Amino acid sequence: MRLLALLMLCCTGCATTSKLSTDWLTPAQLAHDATKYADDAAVVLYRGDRYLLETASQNSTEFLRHVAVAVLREGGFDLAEVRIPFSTQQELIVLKARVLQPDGTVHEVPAREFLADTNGKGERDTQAKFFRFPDVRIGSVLEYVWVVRTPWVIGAEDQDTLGSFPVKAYDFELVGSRRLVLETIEYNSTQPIEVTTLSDGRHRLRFSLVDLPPREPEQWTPHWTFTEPRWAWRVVGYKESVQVTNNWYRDWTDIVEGFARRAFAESKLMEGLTARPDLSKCADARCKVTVATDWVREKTSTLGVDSNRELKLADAFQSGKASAKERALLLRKVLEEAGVEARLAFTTQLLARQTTQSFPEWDQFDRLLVHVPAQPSIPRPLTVEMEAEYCAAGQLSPTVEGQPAFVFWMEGGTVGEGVVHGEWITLQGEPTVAAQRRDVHAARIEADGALVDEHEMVVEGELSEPWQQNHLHWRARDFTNDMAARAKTVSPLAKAENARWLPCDRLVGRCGYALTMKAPHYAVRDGATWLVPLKLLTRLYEVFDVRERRHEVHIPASVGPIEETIELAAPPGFHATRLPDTVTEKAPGLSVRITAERTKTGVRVTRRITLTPGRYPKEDYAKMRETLERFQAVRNTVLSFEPDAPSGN
Amino acid sequence: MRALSGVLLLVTACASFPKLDLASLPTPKDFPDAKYVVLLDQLHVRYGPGPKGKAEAIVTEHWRAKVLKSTTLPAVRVAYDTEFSELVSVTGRSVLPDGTEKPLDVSKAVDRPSFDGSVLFSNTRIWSLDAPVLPVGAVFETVVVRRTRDIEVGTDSHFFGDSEPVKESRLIVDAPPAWRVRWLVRDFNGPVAFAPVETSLPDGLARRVFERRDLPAMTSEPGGPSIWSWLVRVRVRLDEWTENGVVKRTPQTPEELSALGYVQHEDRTVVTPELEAAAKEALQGVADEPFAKARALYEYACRRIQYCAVEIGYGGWIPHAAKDVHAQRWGDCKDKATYLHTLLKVAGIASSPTAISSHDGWPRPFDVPSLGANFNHEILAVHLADRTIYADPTTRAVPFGRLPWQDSEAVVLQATKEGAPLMRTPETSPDDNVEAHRYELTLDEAGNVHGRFDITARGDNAATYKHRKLLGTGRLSPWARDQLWLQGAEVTSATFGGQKDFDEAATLSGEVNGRRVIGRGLGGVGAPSLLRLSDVLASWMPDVKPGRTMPFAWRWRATTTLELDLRLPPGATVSTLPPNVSLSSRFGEYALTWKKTEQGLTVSRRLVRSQRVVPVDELAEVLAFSEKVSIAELAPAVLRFGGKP
Repeated sequence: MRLLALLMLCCTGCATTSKLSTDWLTPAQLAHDATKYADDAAVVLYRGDRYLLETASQNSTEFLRHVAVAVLREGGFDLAEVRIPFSTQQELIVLKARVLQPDGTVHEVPAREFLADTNGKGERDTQAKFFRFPDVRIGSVLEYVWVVRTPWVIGAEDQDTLGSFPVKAYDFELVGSRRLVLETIEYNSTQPIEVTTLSDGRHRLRFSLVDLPPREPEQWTPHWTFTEPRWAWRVVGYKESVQVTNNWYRDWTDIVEGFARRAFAESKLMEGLTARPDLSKCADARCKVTVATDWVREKTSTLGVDSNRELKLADAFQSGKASAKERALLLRKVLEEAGVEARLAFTTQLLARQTTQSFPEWDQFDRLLVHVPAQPSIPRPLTVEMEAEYCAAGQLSPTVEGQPAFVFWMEGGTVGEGVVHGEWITLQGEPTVAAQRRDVHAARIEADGALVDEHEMVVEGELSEPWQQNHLHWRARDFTNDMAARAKTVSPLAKAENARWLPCDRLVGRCGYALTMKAPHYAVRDGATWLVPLKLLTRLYEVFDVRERRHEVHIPASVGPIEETIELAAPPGFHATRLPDTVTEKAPGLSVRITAERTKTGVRVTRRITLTPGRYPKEDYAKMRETLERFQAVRNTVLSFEPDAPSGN
Repeated sequence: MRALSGVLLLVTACASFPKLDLASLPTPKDFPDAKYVVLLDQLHVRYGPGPKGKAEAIVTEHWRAKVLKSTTLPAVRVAYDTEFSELVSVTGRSVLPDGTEKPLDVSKAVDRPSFDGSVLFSNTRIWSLDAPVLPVGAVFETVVVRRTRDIEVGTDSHFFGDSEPVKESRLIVDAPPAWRVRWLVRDFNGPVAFAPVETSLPDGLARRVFERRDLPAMTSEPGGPSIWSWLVRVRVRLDEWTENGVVKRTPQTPEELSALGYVQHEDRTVVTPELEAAAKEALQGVADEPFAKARALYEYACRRIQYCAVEIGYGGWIPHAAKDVHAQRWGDCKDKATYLHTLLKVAGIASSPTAISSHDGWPRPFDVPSLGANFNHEILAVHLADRTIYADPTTRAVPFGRLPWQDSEAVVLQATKEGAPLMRTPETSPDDNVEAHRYELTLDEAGNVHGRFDITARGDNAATYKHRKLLGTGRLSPWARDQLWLQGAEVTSATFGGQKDFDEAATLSGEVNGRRVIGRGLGGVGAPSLLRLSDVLASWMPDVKPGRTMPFAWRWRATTTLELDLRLPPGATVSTLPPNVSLSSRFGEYALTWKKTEQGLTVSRRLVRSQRVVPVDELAEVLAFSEKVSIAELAPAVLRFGGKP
């Protein structure tokens, strides 16, 4: 939530009542048919979210939350505990609650039972009110209303509508002073937004939803913003007079303006940071961009750092760890100092959340990049990805490649005077090291049936990032434990030996490990035949094990092709009788290939899967699952090795 | 609720910190596996008279660490109770590898109520601040000063060790020489001989210093005790002191603590007409004999009073009055125990509220006889003519006469007028806690199965099922899947049996699909395929690895059995069955039995966990036992398919 102050007048002496209606719900609103919710421990009969934005004698925002819950089973008892946190700068001006019992009796919770902890004194501290509904039974309806007043006008907000329980009726309402120009948007709903001008000139926007299902998690589900009804609103502008309207959050430059002013004109940005890249050998801007980018990448790592952390740049730089945002701010400044025109760009990672360019909103962005416009020695604009460790200047990771980005810059003046400009572009980068994982096994069966496997795993590109992080942060014992756990997926008796890291280079985007594994009792003697399972193949993508799918499938950008090769030496004097069939199959979003061939020493089995990030409708799931089943099935194949025929003599 | 009476003074200066000789500090080479090394971990407790003569303690925690690996240091986090204590100051500094010093910036600290999931409301607040990001080689140091205004309730503890190596660890205790200080030193295995160095300070205070150096990093292990119960710990408190000339003392023995508990409960158990009516309602139709009446009242209290904790000041130890709990219909553990105690009183059955430390498999030993030192839960000792039955009315579906596993084998202290000694709750046996699964599955040509499952559980094994049934039975299939011992299962339907809340047993049945349960052989008719239990069933063996340094504990003793009846597709036959296995050890018994049937095969697996705790010197035997079990479960049945491969 952003709390942008509009004329930050303190709301001293505010009356402690709300202008928002806090009337109890009517019996009709509380009526429900419990049999409709046989799977649920409770149903939210009503949830109302209301905002009142005032700019008259004093600025304020009132937010009202009105909830009524029917307890259907004991799992709903937890909803009787209510905690209402608010900041030290806010005031809880209304709180009331009542219980309606199955026999029709109604008990209003007396104010003395509302407990408060208002000991916080600092600006960032939190206060809270607490209460517990009394005498809650199966069939009780718990209703409460609270209003929090903030002594300034909040400029934008968004909110989900679903939770763990179904919602019978949901109301949203935003009333703003006539000085405010408001805009709201509903996502994933067909209910119309009702826009009204009230008799006193204030604007009201409202909409209602009914019968919302509970949120049910599922693997590889699209981020909830893609599918669930939700709303957002913003103050587009405020009127100083009938003729003059000042923009607030009218367009995208308004959204980034505050950030842009700090990033481009704040003199303290680089305070305490004296280090600079050596650009003395660079004759042109392209060289400077390359060298400065590499300097930032070498001197700082994003591994394990939240992308949007924003510490003092000097502190981040000194620690050797910086967020993508800190890196971008630093690089842009360094380039500017070197005479290279550099801008910033906000984007949203692929499938990270639902976005729309038609409703300017800060929360849509989750990644900051540096954008270098065309200039001498840089014929085409170039974007610098600051999160992925392996991306050099101009290269983009698959998480942002092809995504829309809002490029912004400031012209002239100091923090308060410059003009912020911006435009949307589509991110297009130069080729970078492709994401992929390769597992190579050199395995053999010993005379007693034990499996000995020399395994090397190498990951590259985007797939290397989590491993780089492990390499950087794991202790030796973490690595040992992880390798032991991997061995156990082959056999409960398997033991990892000689586990070691292969060279991990975060700047190149490559990492891996090598492991020797011994698994006693692995192969089985069936008469004269050795039976050898292919459990060395990894158990992958169990997300597809479930037959029924509730949501569409979202394949994330962080997946990449995986290729596993097993060179299995036959037990001495034995040969494989039959090999797995070659499989080449495709489904929406994925393709698999399995091949097997004889080698001089035994058998080579190769399995490869490629997934294409994106959204796939539920209807595609069955085919995806079927194709993946072919891929998985080879892991449950048993090879037979029979004795070689006696030689001719 | 009382607001902070002291002035919260947050100073950011670091002038009082000594200059560090960075070159003399440990390097990553000294501790190659450590993220940081704790250079100093010091707790200084200074007892003395406060502003109005009331005894208080000024508690200073001084912590200094050097970063050895790229990492984030732990946040500065101070929990304080506005009723009993206040946060006086937090200071700190960072020293960068080049010697540059920066004071701790407390402007971004957040002070908030403690939104503890188990307590709705208390006086506890949390002051927290992220540690600054620091490069390898930097030093971070903090000093947190708290004032304990009420020293009767609490104790102070210092642990000698951490999850990272510690160079210097120290507890300093200062007190007026006439004030009697008690300390107790123990580690996981019991009391530890660790005498402090005693000196006199120029201002007359007596000083005791407990100090250890070069302590290795400690890590917890699955099924092992927490590192905080493993490490050497000194707990300290005042036994006797004077306030404005009046001698004050804390309970000196468990018996005195018991008597104090009695006093704290006494006026909370007043019988009112409403409580009499409640008892009458609960006892309607119940046989007029003590056990039956006690059971009926226990079930009434469990069912009627929902759990919710509101703990203000001494409300952490003193329950709400039973009449209020009845009216509100909610309360915490001691409220529920007191409520049941009062209902039993109406019925003429004696009982004692009983303090206990609910545990995770490792019951806590009793420390010093202090209100805040030993217990985290309250149950009830119900005194029948021939025996005492411990009952935990905080639970929702445990039958009367049994305790949940968290309360078993635990040290308890009944609150009695005369003062009771410490006692211990009973343990359960593998016969008390039983879980049996039966899977009737049909195998198809592709190696997948479908069929039914039936689960019966009782004792501690039944708790999960009964609880889930009470909470609501919606969306049961995904939950049921997690209860099965069949790997990769997908439950397509699940229903509970008709058991009631407090029945001993629970049942759950349904339909299940399983994928890829056999290793499918290649080739034509008769090609061998493998059925290995280790591929199909979840392991029952403990997560004990070679080189383990901590003991292992099951949470409870139990008997688990599984019967898998597998029907083969037409034309498929069982070629070979592995040998039956029967293993016996002091930890328990394991049996695996294979049998051919007309339509396929049946395999039965049984494990009796009869020894709950495995000490370190017996771990090797457990590993050997586990290995034998693994070998048994790796031995495959060989199947041959008659149809197409």
